[in-house]
Amino acid sequence: MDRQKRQLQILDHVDLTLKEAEFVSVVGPSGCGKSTLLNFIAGLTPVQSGAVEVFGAPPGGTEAPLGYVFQQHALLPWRNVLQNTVISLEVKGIAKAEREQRAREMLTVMGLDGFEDHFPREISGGMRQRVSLARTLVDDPRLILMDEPFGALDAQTKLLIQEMFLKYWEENRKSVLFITHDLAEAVALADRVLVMSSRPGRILAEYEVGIPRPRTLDQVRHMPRFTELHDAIWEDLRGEALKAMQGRA
Amino acid sequence: MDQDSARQVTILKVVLLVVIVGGWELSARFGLIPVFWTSSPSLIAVAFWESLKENEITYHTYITMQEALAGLAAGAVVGVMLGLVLGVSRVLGAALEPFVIAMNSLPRVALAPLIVMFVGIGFASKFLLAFSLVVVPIMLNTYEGIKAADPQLINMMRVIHAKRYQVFYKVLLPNCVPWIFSALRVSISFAIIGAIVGEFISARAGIGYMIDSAAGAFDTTGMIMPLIVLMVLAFSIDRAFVATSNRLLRWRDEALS
Repeated sequence: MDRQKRQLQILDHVDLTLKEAEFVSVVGPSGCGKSTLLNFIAGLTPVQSGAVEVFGAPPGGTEAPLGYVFQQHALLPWRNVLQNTVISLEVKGIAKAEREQRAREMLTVMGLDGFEDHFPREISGGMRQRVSLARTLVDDPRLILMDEPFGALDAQTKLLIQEMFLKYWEENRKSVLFITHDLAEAVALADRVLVMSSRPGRILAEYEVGIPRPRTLDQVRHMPRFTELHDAIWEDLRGEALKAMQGRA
Repeated sequence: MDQDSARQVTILKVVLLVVIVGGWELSARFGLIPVFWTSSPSLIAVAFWESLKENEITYHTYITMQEALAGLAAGAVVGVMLGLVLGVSRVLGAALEPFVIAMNSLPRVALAPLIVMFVGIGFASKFLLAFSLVVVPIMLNTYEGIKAADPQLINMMRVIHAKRYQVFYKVLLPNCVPWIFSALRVSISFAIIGAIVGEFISARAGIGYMIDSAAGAFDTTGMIMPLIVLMVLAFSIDRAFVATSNRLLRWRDEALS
Protein backbone atom coordinates (compact mmCIF):
# COMPACT_ATOMS: atom_id res chain seq x y z
CA MET A 1 0.00 0.00 0.00
CA ASP A 2 2.80 2.42 -0.73
CA ARG A 3 1.19 4.05 -3.74
CA GLN A 4 2.46 7.51 -2.74
CA LYS A 5 6.07 6.45 -2.36
CA ARG A 6 8.24 9.50 -2.81
CA GLN A 7 10.52 9.59 -5.79
CA LEU A 8 14.00 9.94 -4.40
CA GLN A 9 17.24 10.16 -6.22
CA ILE A 10 19.30 7.58 -4.42
CA LEU A 11 22.29 7.20 -6.69
CA ASP A 12 23.90 9.78 -8.94
CA HIS A 13 26.17 8.85 -11.85
CA VAL A 14 27.63 5.78 -10.25
CA ASP A 15 29.91 4.24 -12.84
CA LEU A 16 31.48 1.02 -11.70
CA THR A 17 33.01 -1.95 -13.45
CA LEU A 18 34.06 -5.05 -11.61
CA LYS A 19 36.83 -7.17 -13.07
CA GLU A 20 36.71 -10.95 -12.98
CA ALA A 21 38.00 -12.25 -9.64
CA GLU A 22 38.34 -8.76 -8.23
CA PHE A 23 37.43 -7.86 -4.65
CA VAL A 24 35.96 -4.37 -4.44
CA SER A 25 34.80 -2.74 -1.23
CA VAL A 26 32.42 0.19 -1.12
CA VAL A 27 32.40 2.46 1.92
CA GLY A 28 30.12 5.38 2.52
CA PRO A 29 28.00 7.11 5.16
CA SER A 30 24.81 5.36 6.22
CA GLY A 31 21.90 5.87 3.87
CA CYS A 32 24.05 6.72 0.85
CA GLY A 33 22.41 4.09 -1.34
CA LYS A 34 25.00 1.36 -1.00
CA SER A 35 22.41 -1.34 -0.51
CA THR A 36 20.34 0.03 -3.38
CA LEU A 37 23.36 -0.42 -5.60
CA LEU A 38 23.50 -4.10 -4.71
CA ASN A 39 19.77 -4.52 -5.20
CA PHE A 40 20.10 -3.04 -8.70
CA ILE A 41 22.84 -5.51 -9.57
CA ALA A 42 20.94 -8.45 -8.09
CA GLY A 43 17.83 -7.47 -10.05
CA LEU A 44 15.78 -7.03 -6.87
CA THR A 45 15.09 -3.34 -7.58
CA PRO A 46 14.38 -2.22 -11.14
CA VAL A 47 16.75 0.45 -12.42
CA GLN A 48 15.03 3.78 -13.12
CA SER A 49 17.68 5.29 -15.36
CA GLY A 50 21.04 4.07 -16.49
CA ALA A 51 22.18 0.55 -17.17
CA VAL A 52 23.37 -2.42 -15.17
CA GLU A 53 24.97 -5.42 -16.81
CA VAL A 54 25.98 -8.62 -15.06
CA PHE A 55 28.38 -10.68 -17.17
CA GLY A 56 26.97 -9.03 -20.27
CA ALA A 57 23.31 -9.71 -19.40
CA PRO A 58 20.60 -7.62 -17.73
CA PRO A 59 20.39 -8.09 -13.94
CA GLY A 60 18.12 -10.78 -12.51
CA GLY A 61 18.76 -13.21 -15.37
CA THR A 62 19.24 -16.89 -14.66
CA GLU A 63 22.44 -17.08 -16.72
CA ALA A 64 24.48 -15.09 -14.24
CA PRO A 65 25.46 -17.14 -11.17
CA LEU A 66 25.27 -14.51 -8.51
CA GLY A 67 25.34 -14.74 -4.74
CA TYR A 68 24.02 -12.24 -2.21
CA VAL A 69 24.98 -12.21 1.46
CA PHE A 70 22.51 -10.05 3.35
CA GLN A 71 23.17 -7.92 6.38
CA GLN A 72 20.79 -10.09 8.39
CA HIS A 73 21.39 -13.78 7.81
CA ALA A 74 18.03 -14.36 6.03
CA LEU A 75 17.97 -18.02 7.06
CA LEU A 76 14.69 -19.92 6.96
CA PRO A 77 13.91 -20.48 10.65
CA TRP A 78 12.09 -23.78 10.07
CA ARG A 79 15.03 -25.34 8.25
CA ASN A 80 18.08 -26.68 10.00
CA VAL A 81 21.60 -25.62 9.06
CA LEU A 82 22.01 -28.26 6.35
CA GLN A 83 18.56 -27.63 4.84
CA ASN A 84 19.29 -23.90 4.77
CA THR A 85 22.61 -24.43 3.05
CA VAL A 86 21.16 -26.54 0.23
CA ILE A 87 18.30 -24.18 -0.64
CA SER A 88 19.77 -22.71 -3.83
CA LEU A 89 20.76 -26.15 -5.12
CA GLU A 90 17.33 -27.46 -4.18
CA VAL A 91 15.61 -24.67 -6.10
CA LYS A 92 17.75 -25.56 -9.13
CA GLY A 93 16.63 -29.17 -8.90
CA ILE A 94 19.98 -30.75 -8.06
CA ALA A 95 19.64 -34.28 -6.65
CA LYS A 96 19.41 -34.58 -2.89
CA ALA A 97 22.55 -36.68 -2.40
CA GLU A 98 24.70 -34.29 -4.42
CA ARG A 99 23.36 -31.09 -2.90
CA GLU A 100 23.78 -32.40 0.63
CA GLN A 101 27.32 -33.53 -0.05
CA ARG A 102 28.24 -30.12 -1.47
CA ALA A 103 26.56 -28.38 1.46
CA ARG A 104 28.43 -30.52 4.00
CA GLU A 105 31.73 -29.68 2.35
CA MET A 106 30.98 -25.97 2.43
CA LEU A 107 29.85 -26.16 6.05
CA THR A 108 33.18 -27.79 6.89
CA VAL A 109 35.02 -24.90 5.22
CA MET A 110 33.00 -22.54 7.44
CA GLY A 111 33.83 -24.60 10.53
CA LEU A 112 30.27 -25.74 11.10
CA ASP A 113 30.77 -29.51 11.27
CA GLY A 114 28.38 -31.13 13.69
CA PHE A 115 25.82 -28.31 13.52
CA GLU A 116 23.96 -29.60 10.45
CA ASP A 117 20.88 -30.54 12.48
CA HIS A 118 20.61 -27.32 14.47
CA PHE A 119 17.90 -24.78 13.80
CA PRO A 120 18.98 -21.14 13.33
CA ARG A 121 17.57 -20.18 16.73
CA GLU A 122 19.85 -22.76 18.37
CA ILE A 123 23.15 -21.29 17.12
CA SER A 124 24.98 -17.99 17.74
CA GLY A 125 24.78 -14.91 15.53
CA GLY A 126 28.26 -15.53 14.17
CA MET A 127 27.37 -19.09 13.24
CA ARG A 128 24.19 -17.96 11.55
CA GLN A 129 26.15 -15.57 9.40
CA ARG A 130 28.58 -18.39 8.52
CA VAL A 131 25.63 -20.56 7.46
CA SER A 132 24.46 -17.65 5.36
CA LEU A 133 27.93 -17.47 3.76
CA ALA A 134 27.98 -21.23 3.18
CA ARG A 135 24.55 -21.05 1.57
CA THR A 136 25.81 -18.39 -0.84
CA LEU A 137 29.15 -20.02 -1.64
CA VAL A 138 27.83 -23.56 -2.12
CA ASP A 139 26.22 -22.40 -5.37
CA ASP A 140 29.70 -21.42 -6.64
CA PRO A 141 28.66 -17.92 -7.72
CA ARG A 142 30.88 -15.94 -10.11
CA LEU A 143 29.91 -12.69 -8.45
CA ILE A 144 29.19 -12.27 -4.76
CA LEU A 145 27.33 -9.23 -3.46
CA MET A 146 27.81 -8.62 0.24
CA ASP A 147 25.80 -6.04 2.19
CA GLU A 148 27.61 -5.30 5.45
CA PRO A 149 27.69 -9.04 6.09
CA PHE A 150 29.70 -8.80 9.30
CA GLY A 151 28.23 -5.51 10.55
CA ALA A 152 25.97 -7.04 13.19
CA LEU A 153 28.65 -9.21 14.81
CA ASP A 154 30.73 -8.53 17.91
CA ALA A 155 34.38 -7.58 17.37
CA GLN A 156 36.02 -10.97 17.99
CA THR A 157 33.50 -12.99 16.00
CA LYS A 158 33.84 -10.47 13.21
CA LEU A 159 37.65 -10.92 13.04
CA LEU A 160 37.34 -14.71 12.93
CA ILE A 161 34.76 -14.69 10.17
CA GLN A 162 36.75 -12.13 8.18
CA GLU A 163 39.81 -14.42 8.41
CA MET A 164 37.72 -17.36 7.30
CA PHE A 165 36.22 -15.54 4.37
CA LEU A 166 39.56 -14.02 3.34
CA LYS A 167 41.12 -17.46 3.23
CA TYR A 168 38.23 -18.86 1.21
CA TRP A 169 38.37 -15.97 -1.23
CA GLU A 170 42.11 -16.14 -1.77
CA GLU A 171 41.78 -19.82 -2.65
CA ASN A 172 38.74 -19.42 -4.90
CA ARG A 173 38.92 -15.86 -6.29
CA LYS A 174 35.38 -14.78 -7.11
CA SER A 175 34.33 -11.28 -8.04
CA VAL A 176 33.15 -9.63 -4.85
CA LEU A 177 31.33 -6.36 -4.29
CA PHE A 178 31.53 -5.78 -0.56
CA ILE A 179 29.56 -3.03 1.12
CA THR A 180 30.68 -1.93 4.54
CA HIS A 181 30.95 1.06 6.82
CA ASP A 182 34.05 -0.39 8.46
CA LEU A 183 37.10 1.23 6.82
CA ALA A 184 39.58 -1.25 8.24
CA GLU A 185 37.54 -4.14 6.91
CA ALA A 186 37.23 -2.50 3.49
CA VAL A 187 40.98 -1.99 3.15
CA ALA A 188 42.08 -5.28 4.67
CA LEU A 189 39.92 -7.48 2.45
CA ALA A 190 39.71 -5.70 -0.91
CA ASP A 191 41.78 -5.09 -4.02
CA ARG A 192 40.05 -1.78 -4.63
CA VAL A 193 38.08 0.54 -2.33
CA LEU A 194 35.39 2.92 -3.56
CA VAL A 195 34.24 5.81 -1.39
CA MET A 196 30.65 6.97 -1.80
CA SER A 197 29.15 10.33 -0.89
CA SER A 198 26.01 10.86 1.15
CA ARG A 199 22.71 10.75 -0.69
CA PRO A 200 22.39 10.96 -3.64
CA GLY A 201 25.34 8.60 -3.70
CA ARG A 202 28.26 9.39 -5.99
CA ILE A 203 31.64 7.77 -6.13
CA LEU A 204 33.94 10.29 -4.43
CA ALA A 205 37.22 8.47 -4.70
CA GLU A 206 38.77 5.20 -5.66
CA TYR A 207 41.88 3.52 -4.18
CA GLU A 208 43.90 0.55 -5.35
CA VAL A 209 44.86 -1.23 -2.16
CA GLY A 210 48.01 -2.88 -3.52
CA ILE A 211 48.74 -4.98 -0.45
CA PRO A 212 50.08 -8.36 -1.63
CA ARG A 213 48.18 -11.60 -1.07
CA PRO A 214 47.86 -13.94 0.68
CA ARG A 215 47.11 -11.59 3.53
CA THR A 216 46.44 -12.16 7.16
CA LEU A 217 44.42 -9.58 9.02
CA ASP A 218 47.00 -9.13 11.80
CA GLN A 219 49.79 -8.39 9.37
CA VAL A 220 47.73 -6.09 7.18
CA ARG A 221 46.77 -3.88 10.08
CA HIS A 222 50.41 -3.07 10.86
CA MET A 223 51.45 -2.19 7.32
CA PRO A 224 52.17 1.45 6.54
CA ARG A 225 50.10 1.14 3.35
CA PHE A 226 47.09 0.11 5.44
CA THR A 227 47.39 3.12 7.75
CA GLU A 228 47.96 5.43 4.82
CA LEU A 229 44.82 4.21 2.99
CA HIS A 230 42.76 4.17 6.14
CA ASP A 231 43.63 7.81 6.85
CA ALA A 232 43.06 8.92 3.26
CA ILE A 233 39.62 7.29 3.09
CA TRP A 234 38.62 8.68 6.47
CA GLU A 235 39.62 12.13 5.21
CA ASP A 236 37.23 11.66 2.26
CA LEU A 237 34.45 10.28 4.37
CA ARG A 238 34.57 12.61 7.33
CA GLY A 239 32.74 15.46 5.66
CA GLU A 240 30.16 13.11 4.13
CA ALA A 241 29.52 11.31 7.38
CA LEU A 242 28.92 14.65 9.08
CA LYS A 243 26.50 15.69 6.35
CA ALA A 244 24.63 12.40 6.65
CA MET A 245 24.45 12.80 10.41
CA GLN A 246 23.10 16.34 10.23
CA GLY A 247 20.59 15.21 7.62
CA ARG A 248 19.22 12.81 10.19
CA ALA A 249 19.32 15.05 13.24
CA MET B 1 11.52 -22.08 34.74
CA ASP B 2 13.92 -24.13 36.87
CA GLN B 3 13.08 -27.50 38.40
CA ASP B 4 12.35 -26.16 41.86
CA SER B 5 9.75 -23.65 40.77
CA ALA B 6 8.29 -26.17 38.31
CA ARG B 7 7.69 -28.49 41.25
CA GLN B 8 6.18 -25.66 43.28
CA VAL B 9 3.78 -24.94 40.43
CA THR B 10 2.72 -28.59 40.24
CA ILE B 11 2.11 -28.71 43.98
CA LEU B 12 0.14 -25.47 43.86
CA LYS B 13 -2.03 -26.81 41.01
CA VAL B 14 -2.93 -29.92 43.04
CA VAL B 15 -3.59 -27.81 46.16
CA LEU B 16 -5.90 -25.50 44.19
CA LEU B 17 -7.84 -28.42 42.77
CA VAL B 18 -8.25 -30.00 46.22
CA VAL B 19 -9.30 -26.68 47.80
CA ILE B 20 -11.90 -25.94 45.13
CA VAL B 21 -13.43 -29.40 44.94
CA GLY B 22 -13.07 -30.07 48.68
CA GLY B 23 -14.41 -26.65 49.65
CA TRP B 24 -17.42 -27.14 47.39
CA GLU B 25 -18.14 -30.61 48.79
CA LEU B 26 -17.72 -29.59 52.43
CA SER B 27 -19.85 -26.45 52.09
CA ALA B 28 -22.57 -28.58 50.53
CA ARG B 29 -22.34 -31.22 53.28
CA PHE B 30 -22.49 -28.68 56.12
CA GLY B 31 -25.35 -26.85 54.49
CA LEU B 32 -23.37 -23.65 53.86
CA ILE B 33 -24.57 -23.65 50.27
CA PRO B 34 -27.91 -25.02 49.08
CA VAL B 35 -27.37 -28.26 47.16
CA PHE B 36 -30.49 -27.57 45.12
CA TRP B 37 -28.84 -24.55 43.44
CA THR B 38 -25.18 -25.55 43.30
CA SER B 39 -25.14 -29.36 43.54
CA SER B 40 -21.98 -30.93 44.96
CA PRO B 41 -18.99 -32.90 43.64
CA SER B 42 -20.24 -36.17 45.14
CA LEU B 43 -23.71 -35.72 43.62
CA ILE B 44 -22.10 -34.97 40.27
CA ALA B 45 -19.83 -38.01 40.53
CA VAL B 46 -22.81 -40.26 41.29
CA ALA B 47 -24.84 -38.77 38.45
CA PHE B 48 -21.89 -39.28 36.14
CA TRP B 49 -21.56 -42.93 37.16
CA GLU B 50 -25.29 -43.59 36.65
CA SER B 51 -25.24 -41.87 33.32
CA LEU B 52 -22.16 -43.81 32.27
CA LYS B 53 -23.82 -47.12 33.15
CA GLU B 54 -26.79 -46.28 30.95
CA ASN B 55 -24.46 -45.16 28.19
CA GLU B 56 -26.21 -41.81 28.20
CA ILE B 57 -23.36 -39.35 28.78
CA THR B 58 -21.08 -41.22 26.36
CA TYR B 59 -23.72 -41.08 23.64
CA HIS B 60 -24.44 -37.37 24.03
CA THR B 61 -20.76 -36.50 24.30
CA TYR B 62 -20.12 -38.46 21.15
CA ILE B 63 -22.85 -36.54 19.31
CA THR B 64 -21.56 -33.14 20.42
CA MET B 65 -17.91 -33.93 19.72
CA GLN B 66 -18.83 -35.28 16.31
CA GLU B 67 -20.58 -32.01 15.43
CA ALA B 68 -17.79 -29.88 16.87
CA LEU B 69 -14.87 -31.79 15.36
CA ALA B 70 -16.50 -32.07 11.95
CA GLY B 71 -17.11 -28.31 12.00
CA LEU B 72 -13.55 -27.72 13.16
CA ALA B 73 -12.04 -29.90 10.45
CA ALA B 74 -14.12 -28.41 7.66
CA GLY B 75 -13.59 -24.89 8.99
CA ALA B 76 -9.84 -25.46 9.17
CA VAL B 77 -9.54 -26.78 5.63
CA VAL B 78 -11.72 -24.07 4.10
CA GLY B 79 -10.22 -21.33 6.32
CA VAL B 80 -6.64 -22.24 5.43
CA MET B 81 -7.43 -22.38 1.73
CA LEU B 82 -9.24 -19.03 1.74
CA GLY B 83 -6.45 -17.48 3.79
CA LEU B 84 -3.83 -18.72 1.35
CA VAL B 85 -5.76 -17.39 -1.63
CA LEU B 86 -6.20 -14.00 0.04
CA GLY B 87 -2.54 -13.91 1.06
CA VAL B 88 -1.14 -14.88 -2.31
CA SER B 89 -3.37 -12.67 -4.43
CA ARG B 90 -2.67 -9.15 -3.25
CA VAL B 91 -5.55 -7.54 -5.14
CA LEU B 92 -8.12 -10.07 -3.97
CA GLY B 93 -6.75 -9.97 -0.43
CA ALA B 94 -6.94 -6.20 -0.16
CA ALA B 95 -10.41 -6.11 -1.75
CA LEU B 96 -11.91 -8.80 0.48
CA GLU B 97 -10.27 -7.71 3.73
CA PRO B 98 -13.03 -5.32 4.91
CA PHE B 99 -15.73 -7.92 4.19
CA VAL B 100 -13.87 -10.57 6.11
CA ILE B 101 -13.40 -8.27 9.08
CA ALA B 102 -17.08 -7.30 9.00
CA MET B 103 -17.99 -11.00 8.95
CA ASN B 104 -15.66 -11.59 11.85
CA SER B 105 -17.16 -8.83 13.98
CA LEU B 106 -20.61 -10.38 13.51
CA PRO B 107 -21.61 -12.37 16.63
CA ARG B 108 -21.96 -15.64 14.75
CA VAL B 109 -23.93 -17.47 17.43
CA ALA B 110 -26.69 -15.01 16.52
CA LEU B 111 -26.78 -16.77 13.14
CA ALA B 112 -27.99 -19.93 14.88
CA PRO B 113 -31.76 -19.43 14.38
CA LEU B 114 -31.19 -18.59 10.74
CA ILE B 115 -29.03 -21.66 10.21
CA VAL B 116 -31.60 -23.91 11.92
CA MET B 117 -34.26 -22.42 9.69
CA PHE B 118 -32.17 -23.21 6.61
CA VAL B 119 -30.96 -26.74 7.34
CA GLY B 120 -33.19 -28.06 10.10
CA ILE B 121 -32.45 -29.28 13.61
CA GLY B 122 -30.22 -32.25 12.77
CA PHE B 123 -26.48 -32.64 12.54
CA ALA B 124 -26.14 -30.05 9.75
CA SER B 125 -27.15 -27.03 11.81
CA LYS B 126 -24.62 -27.75 14.60
CA PHE B 127 -21.94 -28.57 12.09
CA LEU B 128 -22.56 -25.32 10.21
CA LEU B 129 -22.59 -23.26 13.37
CA ALA B 130 -19.27 -24.75 14.53
CA PHE B 131 -17.89 -24.24 11.02
CA SER B 132 -18.99 -20.59 10.92
CA LEU B 133 -17.28 -19.88 14.24
CA VAL B 134 -14.04 -21.54 13.16
CA VAL B 135 -13.56 -20.60 9.53
CA VAL B 136 -13.05 -16.85 9.87
CA PRO B 137 -10.35 -16.81 12.58
CA ILE B 138 -8.42 -19.56 10.79
CA MET B 139 -8.68 -17.71 7.51
CA LEU B 140 -7.54 -14.42 9.06
CA ASN B 141 -4.58 -16.03 10.80
CA THR B 142 -3.45 -17.83 7.66
CA TYR B 143 -3.69 -14.55 5.76
CA GLU B 144 -1.68 -12.76 8.46
CA GLY B 145 0.89 -15.55 8.42
CA ILE B 146 1.49 -14.98 4.73
CA LYS B 147 1.62 -11.21 5.08
CA ALA B 148 4.09 -11.53 7.96
CA ALA B 149 6.69 -13.38 5.87
CA ASP B 150 10.06 -11.62 6.15
CA PRO B 151 10.68 -9.70 2.88
CA GLN B 152 14.38 -10.49 3.27
CA LEU B 153 13.58 -14.21 2.88
CA ILE B 154 11.61 -13.47 -0.29
CA ASN B 155 14.55 -11.44 -1.63
CA MET B 156 16.87 -14.32 -0.84
CA MET B 157 14.62 -16.66 -2.81
CA ARG B 158 14.52 -14.22 -5.74
CA VAL B 159 18.31 -14.01 -5.85
CA ILE B 160 18.56 -17.79 -6.20
CA HIS B 161 15.93 -17.61 -8.98
CA ALA B 162 13.22 -19.48 -7.12
CA LYS B 163 9.98 -19.80 -9.07
CA ARG B 164 6.79 -18.36 -7.62
CA TYR B 165 5.52 -21.75 -6.55
CA GLN B 166 8.86 -22.45 -4.84
CA VAL B 167 8.61 -19.21 -2.88
CA PHE B 168 5.12 -20.27 -1.88
CA TYR B 169 6.01 -23.80 -0.76
CA LYS B 170 9.37 -23.05 0.80
CA VAL B 171 8.71 -19.67 2.46
CA LEU B 172 5.09 -18.49 2.58
CA LEU B 173 3.47 -21.79 3.53
CA PRO B 174 5.90 -22.78 6.33
CA ASN B 175 5.68 -19.21 7.60
CA CYS B 176 1.94 -19.48 8.23
CA VAL B 177 2.07 -22.86 9.96
CA PRO B 178 2.55 -21.40 13.49
CA TRP B 179 -0.22 -18.87 12.75
CA ILE B 180 -2.56 -21.65 11.66
CA PHE B 181 -1.71 -23.69 14.75
CA SER B 182 -2.51 -20.88 17.15
CA ALA B 183 -5.82 -20.26 15.34
CA LEU B 184 -6.61 -23.98 15.50
CA ARG B 185 -6.04 -23.97 19.23
CA VAL B 186 -8.63 -21.30 19.98
CA SER B 187 -10.91 -22.87 17.38
CA ILE B 188 -11.27 -26.07 19.43
CA SER B 189 -13.39 -24.24 21.99
CA PHE B 190 -15.13 -22.16 19.30
CA ALA B 191 -16.25 -25.36 17.60
CA ILE B 192 -17.64 -26.75 20.85
CA ILE B 193 -19.46 -23.47 21.51
CA GLY B 194 -20.99 -23.69 18.06
CA ALA B 195 -22.22 -27.25 18.58
CA ILE B 196 -23.66 -26.52 22.04
CA VAL B 197 -25.46 -23.35 20.98
CA GLY B 198 -26.92 -25.25 18.04
CA GLU B 199 -28.18 -27.90 20.44
CA PHE B 200 -29.72 -25.26 22.71
CA ILE B 201 -31.78 -23.90 19.84
CA SER B 202 -33.23 -27.31 19.20
CA ALA B 203 -31.92 -30.84 19.20
CA ARG B 204 -32.68 -34.41 20.11
CA ALA B 205 -29.22 -35.32 21.38
CA GLY B 206 -25.92 -33.86 22.55
CA ILE B 207 -24.50 -32.20 25.64
CA GLY B 208 -26.48 -29.04 24.93
CA TYR B 209 -29.64 -31.11 24.75
CA MET B 210 -28.78 -32.83 28.06
CA ILE B 211 -28.24 -29.49 29.79
CA ASP B 212 -31.41 -28.05 28.31
CA SER B 213 -33.51 -31.03 29.44
CA ALA B 214 -32.02 -30.96 32.94
CA ALA B 215 -32.76 -27.21 33.13
CA GLY B 216 -36.40 -27.97 32.35
CA ALA B 217 -36.49 -30.27 35.39
CA PHE B 218 -34.61 -27.82 37.71
CA ASP B 219 -31.90 -30.49 37.99
CA THR B 220 -28.66 -28.58 38.71
CA THR B 221 -26.60 -31.75 39.04
CA GLY B 222 -27.88 -32.86 35.64
CA MET B 223 -26.81 -29.48 34.19
CA ILE B 224 -23.36 -29.32 35.74
CA MET B 225 -22.29 -32.92 35.19
CA PRO B 226 -22.23 -32.77 31.35
CA LEU B 227 -20.50 -29.38 31.58
CA ILE B 228 -17.68 -30.89 33.60
CA VAL B 229 -17.35 -33.80 31.21
CA LEU B 230 -17.10 -31.33 28.35
CA MET B 231 -14.55 -29.23 30.22
CA VAL B 232 -12.30 -32.19 30.96
CA LEU B 233 -12.57 -33.34 27.36
CA ALA B 234 -11.79 -29.92 25.86
CA PHE B 235 -8.91 -29.48 28.27
CA SER B 236 -7.40 -32.84 27.26
CA ILE B 237 -7.71 -32.02 23.58
CA ASP B 238 -6.00 -28.67 24.18
CA ARG B 239 -3.10 -30.34 26.07
CA ALA B 240 -2.64 -32.93 23.34
CA PHE B 241 -2.76 -30.22 20.70
CA VAL B 242 -0.19 -28.05 22.47
CA ALA B 243 2.16 -31.00 22.94
CA THR B 244 1.90 -31.94 19.26
CA SER B 245 2.34 -28.39 18.10
CA ASN B 246 5.42 -27.84 20.25
CA ARG B 247 6.94 -31.02 18.87
CA LEU B 248 6.24 -30.02 15.27
CA LEU B 249 7.32 -26.40 15.70
CA ARG B 250 10.56 -27.10 17.50
CA TRP B 251 12.26 -24.43 15.35
CA ARG B 252 10.28 -21.63 16.99
CA ASP B 253 11.74 -19.37 19.63
CA GLU B 254 8.87 -19.57 22.06
CA ALA B 255 6.78 -22.64 22.78
CA LEU B 256 3.06 -22.62 23.57
CA SER B 257 2.02 -23.45 27.10
